[in-house]
Amino acid sequence: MSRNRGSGNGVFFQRTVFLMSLFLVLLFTSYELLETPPKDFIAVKIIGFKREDDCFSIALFLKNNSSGKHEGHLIFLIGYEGSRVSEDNAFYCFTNFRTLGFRTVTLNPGEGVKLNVKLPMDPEAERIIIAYCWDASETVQTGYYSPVLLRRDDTVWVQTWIG
Amino acid sequence: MGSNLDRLKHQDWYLISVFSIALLLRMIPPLKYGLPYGFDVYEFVSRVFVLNEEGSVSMPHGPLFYYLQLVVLKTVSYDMFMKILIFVEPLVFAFFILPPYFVSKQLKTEGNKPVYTLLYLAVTNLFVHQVGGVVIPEGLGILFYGLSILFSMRALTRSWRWMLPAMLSSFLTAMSHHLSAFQLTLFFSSLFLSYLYYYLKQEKTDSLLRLLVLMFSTIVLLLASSAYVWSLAGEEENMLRLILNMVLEKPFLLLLIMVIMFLFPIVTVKTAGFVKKYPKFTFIKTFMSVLLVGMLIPVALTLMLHPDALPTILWFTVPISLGFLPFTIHGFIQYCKKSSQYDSLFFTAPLIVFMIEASALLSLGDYRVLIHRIPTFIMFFAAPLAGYGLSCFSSELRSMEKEYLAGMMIAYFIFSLASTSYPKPEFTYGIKESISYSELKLAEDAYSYSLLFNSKIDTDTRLGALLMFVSRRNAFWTGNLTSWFLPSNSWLVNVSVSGETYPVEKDVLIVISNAMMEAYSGRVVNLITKPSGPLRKEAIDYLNNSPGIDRLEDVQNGAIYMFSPWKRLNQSDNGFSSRWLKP
Repeated sequence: MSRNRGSGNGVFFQRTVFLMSLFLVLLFTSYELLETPPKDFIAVKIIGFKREDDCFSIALFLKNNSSGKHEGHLIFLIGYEGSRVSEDNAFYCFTNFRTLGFRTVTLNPGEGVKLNVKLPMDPEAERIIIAYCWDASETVQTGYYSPVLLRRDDTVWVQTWIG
Repeated sequence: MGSNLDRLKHQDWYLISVFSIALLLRMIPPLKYGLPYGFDVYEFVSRVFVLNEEGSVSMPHGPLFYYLQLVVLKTVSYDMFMKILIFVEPLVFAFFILPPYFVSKQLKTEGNKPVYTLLYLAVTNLFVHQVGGVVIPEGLGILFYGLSILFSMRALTRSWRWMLPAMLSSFLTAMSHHLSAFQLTLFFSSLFLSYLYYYLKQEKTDSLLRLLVLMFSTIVLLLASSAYVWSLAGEEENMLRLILNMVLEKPFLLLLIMVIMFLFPIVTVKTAGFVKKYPKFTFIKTFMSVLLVGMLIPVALTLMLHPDALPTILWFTVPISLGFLPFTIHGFIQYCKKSSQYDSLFFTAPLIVFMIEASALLSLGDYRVLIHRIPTFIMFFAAPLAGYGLSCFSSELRSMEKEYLAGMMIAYFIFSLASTSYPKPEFTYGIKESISYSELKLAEDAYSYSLLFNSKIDTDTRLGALLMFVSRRNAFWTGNLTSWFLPSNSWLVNVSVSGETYPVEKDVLIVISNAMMEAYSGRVVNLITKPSGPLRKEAIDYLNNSPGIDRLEDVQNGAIYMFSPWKRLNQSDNGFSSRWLKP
């Protein structure tokens, strides 16, 4: 390359710095925006609880704070002595629980559903866990008495102690 | 249209590209998260809500930021206020980088290209983060800090009358941000002492004497207004109060400060003279030695004092040591060589006093952690030198090939500075800065539960800021301590510090998020100056499996726990039908 217009006085350097910096910052910004975390989430909460003569009444509120439709199972688990919940960043594991039943719940985008659940008394039961799981591969069987493994990203759960 | 474009000079295109870079970088968090970035802003805005409801609330750092936000909130609706806070204010704050650019334009030395200064200001990680990336009082304080520097430079080089806007700007600095005001006090003190010595030894003119009187008045004004803000804010988080506490605790410091004040002007004047006369400063030598010192000293000090901070130090230090520091030192040397001693003192004196301040902070046990707040101010002041250093470097390139290669390298340095603006938790001691919608929902519901159960709420500083925001500061948050050094005594903090679990209190809601958990490289945030750690697996197991502790809510990113809440409620109410939580 021969010395020509702009060389030797920093003009070419200046152009290179500004154009390349702008290009790299544009790339960086695009990358950051592609990495945008999801804004959507599902929430479940207990909004009321009462012990009645022959059952427990639990009022739940499920809310779909997302732009997509969610169809999932509401799973009722009864925990007995020695029941244990453990979690890591991939799964929830419910050990020594009995699956009391399940119900399919569909949540439209932005929809919140109030559910009144009545569960029968069980003198040996210590706690009740209600999990909402929208993992399509998850199958639920009533009366199942063994560790239940639910994918963390597809599950929300609440619990109350009754023992 | 075409003719208008033709009229744009090359320089204008450079300015447009730099501002595009500055705005793009500052708009990353709003576009990415759709919420205000960082958790401090929620804490600050919660106070604005209280002011809006004509309540009484302290205003940490200084009242100006809160009242400016209040004006916006009073002018527009809440929804519009939030949109302005999220999307407009980062853009407005981006323009706060302008004062050092104008300082750079004041430099009388040949070959200076102020647009390089603006480029540094647009991309340097600490500026992107603190000025625009997060909307906090510090950004406002930095604007007035920069303006005070600009006006005082004009006063020294043009007319003493510029000290009057400098005084006004100093007052506004004190009203905006305590640390900016403290740094500005140091800046003016260093100038006053150095120019006083210069006046006594070399130039006994009336104009300089008048300037010295005005500078001293500015220092008094700054101290008085900082003390006023301290009494107004009523919080311990005030740099002036901290220094007074330190002096009261260790009286020998007063003697040390007096000795430093006596020796300081001699050191600055001699340093400026030495740099001017010493012939062996070349860019390559400067670059290599600064790179070595700029990397080795921070890494060695970190390994000695805070080994756990090494990822954070490397994250910020490597790009700064490569891309900013060598050019600043080169610019400083060249400026001292090419300008008069009177002019060069303007940069020499504050830089030396800031170095003394940093060393003093590092040597002061519990207070040394505050060192992380200082670099932004030093670099904001030194940015014109970095721009000048890069200008000098570019003019020393003698061929197009060298210009191209050097240009590409510098562009990558600039990129490394820009891309480290928003560190992930792995590089911030496990602190997740961004907030998610689910965490906001969690805070809202925690407040609703606390009203239903008449209970306190235990959560960390990060979620606590959201709690204050959603409850308009009405929530009873047990960890609500804003002072720097008082330990928080909540279950979450104690468990995260000790790693040991112990029974939870019966009337406390415990609100946890994934961002606190060790499994997510997180940490229970308890302010940077207080001890805390991650929420370990044992603590989560304890909450999930201790008899009586209900898990009331799950929002995927976090959960709310409480000991036997319904039992207490039903005992007091005899039935839940009338005492449900509103969905």
